[in-house]
Amino acid sequence: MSEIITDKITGKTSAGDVTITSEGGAVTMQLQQGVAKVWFHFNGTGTVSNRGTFNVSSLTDNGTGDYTESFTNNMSDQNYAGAGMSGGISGSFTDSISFDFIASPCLTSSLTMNSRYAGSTSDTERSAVQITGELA
Amino acid sequence: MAGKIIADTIETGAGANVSTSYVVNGSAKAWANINGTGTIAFSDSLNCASLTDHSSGIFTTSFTNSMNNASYSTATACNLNNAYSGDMIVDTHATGSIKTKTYYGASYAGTDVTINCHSNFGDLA
Repeated sequence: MSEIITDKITGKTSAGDVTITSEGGAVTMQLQQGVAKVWFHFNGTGTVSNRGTFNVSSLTDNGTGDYTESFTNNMSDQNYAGAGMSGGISGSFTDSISFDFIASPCLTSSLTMNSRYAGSTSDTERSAVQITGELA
Repeated sequence: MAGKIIADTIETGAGANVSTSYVVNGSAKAWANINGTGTIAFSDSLNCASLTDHSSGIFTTSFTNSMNNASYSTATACNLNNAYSGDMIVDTHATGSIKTKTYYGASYAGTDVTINCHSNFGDLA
């Protein structure tokens, strides 16, 4: 088994481009593009709090079911892909809960989200999002 | 000529290490941020070649490089920006594409919105 011990990986031909070989061996892809740049899991009830994060500086409670996560390092543009889920409204763990981004476009420095139940914004006990795209 | 490293583990100088399998298997293989209004278009994407608009809120994203099988994992989110509940869901996983639907309201009517995101994790062919 081989092992690399390093603090930094930089592309040789292009600093921001390190390729990896696909599991099936048929193609290569750019490592940086596929790595999640931000992820978070927060409790949106009571005093809101992050349970686990990466590249997140703070969570803001804007109102019922309305949250903003601010990033430590900004994304390069507003076209990143965020994907996530939300669940756990008190007393109703089985009903459909929608989770959507209310800012259009999203901001490079933060993401504002709504969780909704039965058409109204509702605080949810757990929400989680991963963001892929380019860092500034 | 580009350099090449073949390794099973990557470790930082501080001693934190991770198997390269986590790097390869844990990286998103395709992701997209799609503007679904008007002529639908990618705002940004990785490994996505084209879009097919089927009807309101329903479209197919074709991948540039196919997934190894149709059992990959997808996470989605969108901006409904209205007073209704709704979601963006996966209709069909295929190795070369993914078909999604963004809907709202009790009738689950498809709707066109400006942000439709999906991230896909699994094995590339």
